[in-house]
Amino acid sequence: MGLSTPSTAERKPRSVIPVKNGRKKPRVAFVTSNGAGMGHLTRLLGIARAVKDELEIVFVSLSQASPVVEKFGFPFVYIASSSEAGLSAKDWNAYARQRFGEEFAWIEPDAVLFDGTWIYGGLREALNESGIPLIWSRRGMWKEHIPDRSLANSRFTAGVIEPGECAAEFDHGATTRVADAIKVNPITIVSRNELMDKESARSYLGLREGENAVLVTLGAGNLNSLDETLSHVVAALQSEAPGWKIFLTSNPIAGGREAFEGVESLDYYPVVNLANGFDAVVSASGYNSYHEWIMAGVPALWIPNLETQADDQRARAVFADRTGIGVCVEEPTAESVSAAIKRLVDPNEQRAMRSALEAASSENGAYRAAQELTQMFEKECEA
Amino acid sequence: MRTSAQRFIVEPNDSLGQSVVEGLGTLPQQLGGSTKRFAPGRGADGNGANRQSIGFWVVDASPEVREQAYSYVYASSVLNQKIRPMIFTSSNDLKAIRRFGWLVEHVLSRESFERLSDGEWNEYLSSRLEGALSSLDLKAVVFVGKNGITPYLHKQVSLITKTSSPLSALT
Repeated sequence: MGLSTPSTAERKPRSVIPVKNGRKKPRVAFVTSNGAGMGHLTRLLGIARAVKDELEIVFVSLSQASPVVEKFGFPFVYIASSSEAGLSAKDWNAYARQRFGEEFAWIEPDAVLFDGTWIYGGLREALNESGIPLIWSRRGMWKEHIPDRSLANSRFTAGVIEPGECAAEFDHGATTRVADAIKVNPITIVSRNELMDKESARSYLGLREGENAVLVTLGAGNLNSLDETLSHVVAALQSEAPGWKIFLTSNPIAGGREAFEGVESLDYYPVVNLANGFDAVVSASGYNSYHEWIMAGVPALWIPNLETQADDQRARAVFADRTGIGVCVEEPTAESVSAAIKRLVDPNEQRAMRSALEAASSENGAYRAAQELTQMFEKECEA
Repeated sequence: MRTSAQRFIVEPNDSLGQSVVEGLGTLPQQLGGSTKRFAPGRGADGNGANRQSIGFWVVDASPEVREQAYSYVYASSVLNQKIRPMIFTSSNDLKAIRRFGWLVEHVLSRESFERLSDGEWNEYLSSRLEGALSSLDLKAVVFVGKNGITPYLHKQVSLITKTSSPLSALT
């Protein structure tokens, strides 16, 4: 665990961030990386929902899915990522420096909360030029080969908040070698008590009395090709769980995907709100999905996306299998998926998983993160 | 007075577009060469020097006008292979635009801006346009007003790109 190992960076004393005159609440720009996914955006949305009474929030995001924050009442502006802009890293950083700089000049945030693994050079320069303090929301579970160098950025921040990991025991990445962060419980976009109740969720899903339902949500389809895995999963569910209704998420940013017979498409954000309507889920093991389904207590088959740049989804999936809170398939073939689905829908296995999930669930870390964030600012704002 | 080879194509009755252009500061003379080769979009076959970087401004436009503009830009891109388009918008159309692979310059919507600033939205828009003109070295910006892509706007785009496709072939 990070706190018990030798560290190359130590947590700095908390600095107090001044708030601009005339403001009733500190204004914070929530900046996220992404582009292809919405993991960073969803995590910050969890914090934003928890802190919205204390801070004034505006999202400045590189995620194509950023309009979703408007549904939660937050303003946003989008900045194209380097791959979307089609610019070289050097040109994009110059572009990003100008884009962030312009928005910050108009928005005048008291601070920026950034969620991402790498703090972009362009963002850092824009912050340096405007003198705006940076707070880093930096989750752990980096793949082992990701160099520690990026961690040096914490020295330029006013604070680091580390969203917790249920599978922290299996984290061998760079962030375990530093003790520079305020660690909070796993952060989820909603808390358990906010989920739609079972009857309403089942009614929304159109389920008949006694009918079982499973959700298949394998993440952003544009990170790697998922069609083959999806075919294995659907075939295995149809064969091992006859009579179960199968739902497939239409990811907000993934393009069209081959339709499967007898499978319903579900476009709902955040889909975990419907968790009480499902008997099982088949999911990629990205940070948000993983902690959301554990929080909701739904038995899951985890199929890690191994093509992510930095996130060690494999470690989370294996941890779930070893500790009985889920089932894991690392290499999805027709045979391995079929065997895993058989376990997932088995009533005895389901009972054991639900019981292990109850023990694993924790209070939503978004609230503690919100509290820590709020405490970073001057106490006195204009009434 | 602005000094730049960049061109602003605005209908005389497009008050927002006129106001945004009037709010621009002095621009460097050397701009307008389309030298910054940002993503040309999925309709483009290559990204060579023969392309003019043209911004299409659909800020505050209705969904119908935006969709008509995207169809026009895509058709022009595929048929003529002369433009490197980018889109200025305040809308939630990111998915709709990204399906064409174009660079999006998103601006705060009027409502969001007014929540965050006591300033004038038009001034913010001028400042954002100025930033894009300088960082992306655009040759021209076409302001798509409430009437969508009109014969006037199309004629100006055709002159800049030295193309002769009739408007009916692109809409």
